[in-house]
Amino acid sequence: MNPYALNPTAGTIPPSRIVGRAFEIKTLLQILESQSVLIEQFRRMGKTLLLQKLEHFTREEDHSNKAIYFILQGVRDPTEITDTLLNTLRDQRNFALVKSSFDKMRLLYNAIKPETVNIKDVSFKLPEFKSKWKDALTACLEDIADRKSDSGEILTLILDEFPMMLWNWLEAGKSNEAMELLDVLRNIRHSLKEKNNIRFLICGSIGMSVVLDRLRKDHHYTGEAFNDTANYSIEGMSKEDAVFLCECIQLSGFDCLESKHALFDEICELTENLPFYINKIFAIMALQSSSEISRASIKQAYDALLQEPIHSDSFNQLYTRIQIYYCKEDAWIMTGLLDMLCKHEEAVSEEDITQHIGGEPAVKLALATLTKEHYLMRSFVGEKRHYKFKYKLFRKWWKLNKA
Amino acid sequence: MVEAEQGVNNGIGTFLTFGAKSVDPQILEQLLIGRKEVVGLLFNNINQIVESGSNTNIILIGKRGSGKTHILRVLFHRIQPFVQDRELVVAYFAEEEYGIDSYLDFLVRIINAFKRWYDDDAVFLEGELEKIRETPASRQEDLAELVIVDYIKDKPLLILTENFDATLSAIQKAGQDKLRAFLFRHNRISFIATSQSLIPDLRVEDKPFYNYFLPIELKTLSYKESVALLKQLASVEDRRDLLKHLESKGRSQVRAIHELVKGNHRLLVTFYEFLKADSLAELSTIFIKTMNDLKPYFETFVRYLPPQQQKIIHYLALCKVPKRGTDIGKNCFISDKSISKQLSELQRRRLIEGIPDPASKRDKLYDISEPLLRIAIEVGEQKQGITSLFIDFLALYYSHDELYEQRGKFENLYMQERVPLLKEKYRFEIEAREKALRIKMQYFTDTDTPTLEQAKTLFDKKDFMGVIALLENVKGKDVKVLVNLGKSYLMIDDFKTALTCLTEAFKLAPDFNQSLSIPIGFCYAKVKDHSLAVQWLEKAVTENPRSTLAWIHLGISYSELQEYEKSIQCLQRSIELDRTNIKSWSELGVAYLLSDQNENAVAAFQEANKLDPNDEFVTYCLALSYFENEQHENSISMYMKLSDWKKDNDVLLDIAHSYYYLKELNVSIDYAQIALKKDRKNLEALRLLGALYSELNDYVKSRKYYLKVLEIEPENFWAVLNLGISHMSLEKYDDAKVCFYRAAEINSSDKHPWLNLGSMYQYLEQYDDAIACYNEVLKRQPDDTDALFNLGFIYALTNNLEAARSIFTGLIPTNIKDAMQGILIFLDEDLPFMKALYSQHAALSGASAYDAISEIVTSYLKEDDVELARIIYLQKIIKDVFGSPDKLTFAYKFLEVYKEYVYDKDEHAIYKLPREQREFFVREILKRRDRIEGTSLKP
Repeated sequence: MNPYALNPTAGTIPPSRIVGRAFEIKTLLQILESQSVLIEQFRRMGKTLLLQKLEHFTREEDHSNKAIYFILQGVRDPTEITDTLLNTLRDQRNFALVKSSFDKMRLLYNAIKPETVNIKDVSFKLPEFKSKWKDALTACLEDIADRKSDSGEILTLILDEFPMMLWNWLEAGKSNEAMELLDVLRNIRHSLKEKNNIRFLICGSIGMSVVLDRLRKDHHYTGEAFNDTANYSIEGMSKEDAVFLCECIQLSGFDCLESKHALFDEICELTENLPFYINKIFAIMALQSSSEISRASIKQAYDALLQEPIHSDSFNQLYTRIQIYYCKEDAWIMTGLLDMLCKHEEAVSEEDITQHIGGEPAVKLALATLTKEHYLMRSFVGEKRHYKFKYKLFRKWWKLNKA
Repeated sequence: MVEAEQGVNNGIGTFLTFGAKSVDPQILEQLLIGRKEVVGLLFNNINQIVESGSNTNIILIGKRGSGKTHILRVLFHRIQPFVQDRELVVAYFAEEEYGIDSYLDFLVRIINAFKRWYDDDAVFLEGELEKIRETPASRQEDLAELVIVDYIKDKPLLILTENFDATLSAIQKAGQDKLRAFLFRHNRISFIATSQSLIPDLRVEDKPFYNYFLPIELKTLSYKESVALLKQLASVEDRRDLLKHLESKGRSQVRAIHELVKGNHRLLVTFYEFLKADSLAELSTIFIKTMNDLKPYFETFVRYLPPQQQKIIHYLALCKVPKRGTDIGKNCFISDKSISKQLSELQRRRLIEGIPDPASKRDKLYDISEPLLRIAIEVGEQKQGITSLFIDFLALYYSHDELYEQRGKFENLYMQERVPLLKEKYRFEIEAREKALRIKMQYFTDTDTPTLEQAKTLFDKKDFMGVIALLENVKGKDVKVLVNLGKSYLMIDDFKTALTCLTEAFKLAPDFNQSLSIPIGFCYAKVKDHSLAVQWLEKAVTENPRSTLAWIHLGISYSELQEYEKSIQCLQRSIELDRTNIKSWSELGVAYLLSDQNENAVAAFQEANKLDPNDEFVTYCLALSYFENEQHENSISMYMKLSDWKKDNDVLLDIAHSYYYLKELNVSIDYAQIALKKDRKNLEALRLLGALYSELNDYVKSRKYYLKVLEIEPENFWAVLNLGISHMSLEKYDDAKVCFYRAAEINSSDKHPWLNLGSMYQYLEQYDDAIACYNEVLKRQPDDTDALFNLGFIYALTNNLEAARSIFTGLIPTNIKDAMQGILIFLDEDLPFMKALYSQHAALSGASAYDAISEIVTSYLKEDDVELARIIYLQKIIKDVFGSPDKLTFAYKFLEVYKEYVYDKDEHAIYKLPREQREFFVREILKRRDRIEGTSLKP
């Protein structure tokens, strides 16, 4: 494929213009053949764009697994959830894809509003349906499962920001609704298992484990909502994709003052192929160096990215998400660990860490959490566990701005 | 579109207003000082939205009055063609979109913005809004989203909105969540928004718009940019008097205004009125009016702050000097626990700034970040109201002497005036100046000569404009004033004025204790009068033979007069005095370079480079001297270093040239292309690309670049000539002919057009024409060996052997190789002739004849059609004519081995040669032959 012009951006991109990730899409589709998937990764790793590209890809390629992307951000309570799904399904392209007459939904709707209704006008976000949200959601998903489909055809429902939606409910004192929704979804997934034609791809910038931990602590919730799903994590792009992204952004009006390939290699190396930071480097160069790319302008942009508050704020999530989603004590230990590890380029043994920080059981737990949260990576030297920052870029930022 | 008409034709044709939205966009375009790059970048991004289906999400961060509205307005005007062709749908919000309190409100504002700017659709859109109003509340947001999506259809939507920070906080997290979800569902929506700061809604991890936008910070204008903006304002108003004023005395006033408004765009426009004030009375009126006008504006900065932050701002405003956090806390009765949070919040809002405390590394001092905010607060607090502030302003705005002069002027007016009201007014003006003078004098209580002391302080701070502003109005300038003025003018590169001041000072006091010879000599050098410069600098070195500076400048001036040996002596003398002076080494390098002593130049620049590896000039000179010394890898490394600092095309082309000489032609092309991309009309880049593609035998491309050169410069001799060569190589002989004759016309004394024409005719076997052309060459350069050789060749071919022989033998003294080549290859002369020829030549240059025959042998063996008879003939020549000297052993052996290997099929013959020669023979002769014949060579 030839590179195409792409503005450096941090927001949305039309799916047809999203760069790379072919390998990730292929892998996800392989996993989705047999089970649902859970993706948990902190923000700005490119989750949403990957999922939107997955949706686009399955349609363009007429893949036997068709994906529909739903974004659940802003859904304030369970009564809105069915309408949110319906609004997306009513989109012309999705509507043609889901060949369903939505009989169960019509039946439910007519039980309260007996008039003939076009599915395009159905809304359960009305006071009279307030107590019926579980029925509405079940009917909606069952109608989708009952759609006319070719043998072997799978429909993947991508529920983006699902954990974040639940977290917002918890914060708004709607823990019961959250637990009920988790139970409903689990029951529906079990009842639809036989049909084997629906998969869920749950995605969020906060982990489901964070939500479930909170429910366990505050409400003794023991449900295992997603224990049968495969976990998948998104890393930086492949080198090839990252270079291609550089080529695309360059076409939006940048000039290479030196050998293009060497310059792009340098950008990819400094950003560890993380697309968000590749975009940031280009955006900073656009301002600081009049869109001219050279070794010097890359270095200048990289330094600004890590040091100038207006740009280095983009790493703040590394710090704030610990403060937001973990209790004070855990957050304190985690930041202590990161403060220590950021000073080491090489992995540090768990022994040395506990000697330095103290409080062994809690520290071990924090190390495990930080590894799960993708801050750290674990390796073994002999039989000893060693830890270091997963991304050098993050280590450097933490060292310069937080430690 | 309503905007296009309203904006251009009916907009206010002036800029003296607080609202950029009501100013003519064309005027706004002219006033984009310090913002042009940002606007260019944003416009390019919008262009990409339309052309490549990209999105853009940018937030402009800047203080009030930093030009955010201005930028959006200019952008909106620039993108009208896209909007009118419906390639882009734009929702351009009003500057103050009051009352957005929900996500639904925000969606409705988008629809309203469509209504405002898309006149034809207004009625339809109003109908859609009515439908939304009639829909149950729970469905209104869905419907509003649908209306927007249906309206934009498959086109990209660009939302231009201001104060987006306020919008986000008004719609709260719930609304932000919904907006983000909407943007991800309909992913052809772009945003260019503005905000006063990077608020938590954009910076905190659990906020929906965390890291969604790329932030662009609008920096305050520098002093230079402030001057440029004020000049541009004057130019737009066609105020030539003001322009003149700004280029001279007005500079000190601009500095005062710049300091006062700290480079704030909008306030600079406001204070532009001060520069227009003709009379002093007018100035005070304008000042009072401006401050009264600004007061409510600045009050909004403070009004909505939490009470503790309001207290801090008031306290700092009235203190006038920066304060420590602990002092602020104590005086404002704020606990230690809260004060740091409040201070950092105020810093984040950019209302105060932290300054390192010189007395303590751990502490910071805090001060109000906008001087006018301080004044606005003071206006309400001062017992004397605005008067004392005006006096403060006067003290800042005018120099000591100006205030003194003004006081005298008002005293006269006061004495003459009879009308009581006016008399009272003049008394006020006199008092104001007296108080301002007293404020100014506070700084000079310890000295009798405040002006010179102040000048010294300013000079030490490198505020040369300040020194000039201070001293220019001093009446009856004495030597010291003149010297200080002269040196300050010299520092701002106004050498003519500097020279006037300094020579005047010299006339007044030839024995002035500070030698004026160096600065005067230096100024003469700078105004290119090097003879006078040498006179003054010779005087300087006589007065002070240990002055390194004098020796250096004398060396430079001699160099300028092309007296390089003298220059080198002076500079060597300066190095004897001080080996650590980088200027001495670098100027010595320059003198060597200019006198073609390249190796010495490299050594001198290397010394200079050791002293400061980051000196741009030295790095450039070192690169150049490496280049001249044909050390191209070293020169590339220096040019690369230079390219990290300097972004101009010259460096890129230097790199390209170095790679050219290193024969890395593709890399050279890369760099020349980059240079060309930066400047499409760069002749040097075009010319080099033409030459590079010629080297690569890609004559179609080389022709393209030479034609481009000629588009820009139709009479460019080398381009016409090289274009001819490209045509010739592409077998376009008629076109080539036209070019060569045209080149001969452009430069009739140059031989190259004729040489090329000759070789073309020769190739085309039009020997008479070729001979005529070579004769034209010989008219211009009688000993031109190329022309002579080719003439000999043509004569040999046409059996005019006598003439050929005469030419080749004539070539022997100047070009033995060509001569012997001609004689041996073309004439097949007999041995006695060769013997006679050699004995005649041996005394002249025997050694070069050996080299020539060696070269002839190797190049002959490389040819496609080697004949056994000629191999034998050449062996005979070596043996019988030259007597097989050692120097020709290998030439003889090469012929022998070739004969055995090729004709006797003896593969082992090559082992008769020692290893080094064998490898050369295999690589250069046999492999080439095998390539031609398609055989493979056994090792």
